[in-house]
Amino acid sequence: MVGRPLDEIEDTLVERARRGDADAYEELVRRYTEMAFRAAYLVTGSAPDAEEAAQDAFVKAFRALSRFRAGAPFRPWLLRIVGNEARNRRRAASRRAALELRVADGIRAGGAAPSPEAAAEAAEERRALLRALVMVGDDHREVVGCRYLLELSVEETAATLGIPEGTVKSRLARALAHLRELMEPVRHG
Amino acid sequence: MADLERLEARLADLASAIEWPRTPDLRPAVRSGIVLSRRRRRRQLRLLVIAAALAVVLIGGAAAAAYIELRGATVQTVPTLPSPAPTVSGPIGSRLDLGARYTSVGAAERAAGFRALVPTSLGQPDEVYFRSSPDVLTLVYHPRADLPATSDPEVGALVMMARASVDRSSFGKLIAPGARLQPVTVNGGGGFWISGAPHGFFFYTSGGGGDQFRLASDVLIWNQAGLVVRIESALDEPRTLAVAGTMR
Repeated sequence: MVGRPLDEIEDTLVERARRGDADAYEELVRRYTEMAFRAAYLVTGSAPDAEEAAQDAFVKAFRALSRFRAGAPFRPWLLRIVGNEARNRRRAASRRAALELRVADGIRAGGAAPSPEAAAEAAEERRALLRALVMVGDDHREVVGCRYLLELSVEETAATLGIPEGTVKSRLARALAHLRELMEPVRHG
Repeated sequence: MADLERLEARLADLASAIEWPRTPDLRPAVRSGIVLSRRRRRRQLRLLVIAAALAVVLIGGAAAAAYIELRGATVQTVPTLPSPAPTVSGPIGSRLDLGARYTSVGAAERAAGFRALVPTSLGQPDEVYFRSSPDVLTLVYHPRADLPATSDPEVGALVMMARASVDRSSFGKLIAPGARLQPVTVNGGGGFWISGAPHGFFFYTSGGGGDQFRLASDVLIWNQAGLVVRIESALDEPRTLAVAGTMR
C-alpha cells in the first residue's frame, strides 16, 4: 500500500486546522514540537525560554492560520513565528543564556561498531567541534546550528533567524571558514 | 573544498550525536493557550461591539446597513426611516429613546459615572437624560431664536456623549452611500462632520427585544476628554463647530 506524501498530509492537516479543527492542529503541534523547541533553544540558549517561545508560537500560529496562504509550505511559516518569539525572549532576558549542548558519549546506532579507540577519538572530535561552535559567536552558531544541527533549509533558516536568505548563505560561508580555522589545531594535532 | 566537505561531514556527524534538552510535550499547553486566546478575543469582540453600538447611536442618521452579531445580540443600522416624520407621540425622552430623565446635569453625571461636557454658548440644557446599554448621556435644547427646530419641532439640539473614542475606522462600514465624512478638529480632538446622509435609525435587539432611535440632521462627532461627543441640530457646519468649541 502506498501512503500519501507527507506534504499532502500536512496540507490536509493545515486546511483542517484553518477551519478550526483542534485535533488537526494538535497533530501539527506534535509533528513540529521538536523542531520548534530546538530552533527556539538555538536562539535563546535557555530550555525554559525555548519551551515558552515554542508554546506561544504555536498558539499565535493557530490564531494566524486564517492568514496562512493555502498550499504554501507550513514549516518556514511556523519557524518565522517561533524565531520571532524566541528573539523576543532573548531581548527580554537582556543577555543571551550560554548554549549548553553536549555530545553523546555512546556509540551511535546504525553504524558498524568501531574499536574503543576509534570511538573515543570520534567522540573527542565531536566535542572539539562543539567547543569550536560555541566559540564562533552567536550569529555564526545560529546559522550553522539551523543548517547542520537542525537540518533546516536555507528558507527555513532565514525564517527562523529573521534574516534574508542571501544573508544566511554569506553568514554560513563565513561561519564555516571560522570553524575550519578553529579546528585546524585539532585536525593537525 | 575537501576541507569544507570534511567539515560538513563532521557537522552532520555532530548533529546525530548531539544531546538536546528534552523536548517538552507542548500539546496540552497549546490547547489551553488557544482556549484562553479565544476567550480573550471574544472579550475584545464584545468590547468592539459595545463600541460599535455606541458609534451607531452617536452617528445616527449617517449609518448604512450593517450587522454586528455577538451571542444573539444584533446591532443593525438601516438607511431609511419607516416614515419621513416622527410618528411616536409622548415626551422627547420617550420619542427619541434617550433613557431616564434627570433633574440636572449633575444627577445624570452621577448615573453615568463621568463628567458631562456642556456647550457654554448654549447654556444649561432644558432636559437631561441618561440611557444605559450603551451608556449615553444626552442634553436636550429646545428650539429658540439662535437654535432653529430640527425635524422634531420640540428639539433645537441634541448633545450626546459617551465614554468611547472614534476614528475613521469606526465609521468605515457605517456610512450610508451619499454621506459625506469631513474630518475636523474640535478642542484639540479629532472628529467628523457627517452630512448629506439619508435619515436612518438604529435597531438594537437582544433576546428578541428591540428599540429604535430616530435621527434627522447633520451630525458633528468628535473625541474630547475621553468622551465621544455628538451634536445634532439644524445648524450648519461653521455654527455647529462654534457651539462645539465652547464645550466645557
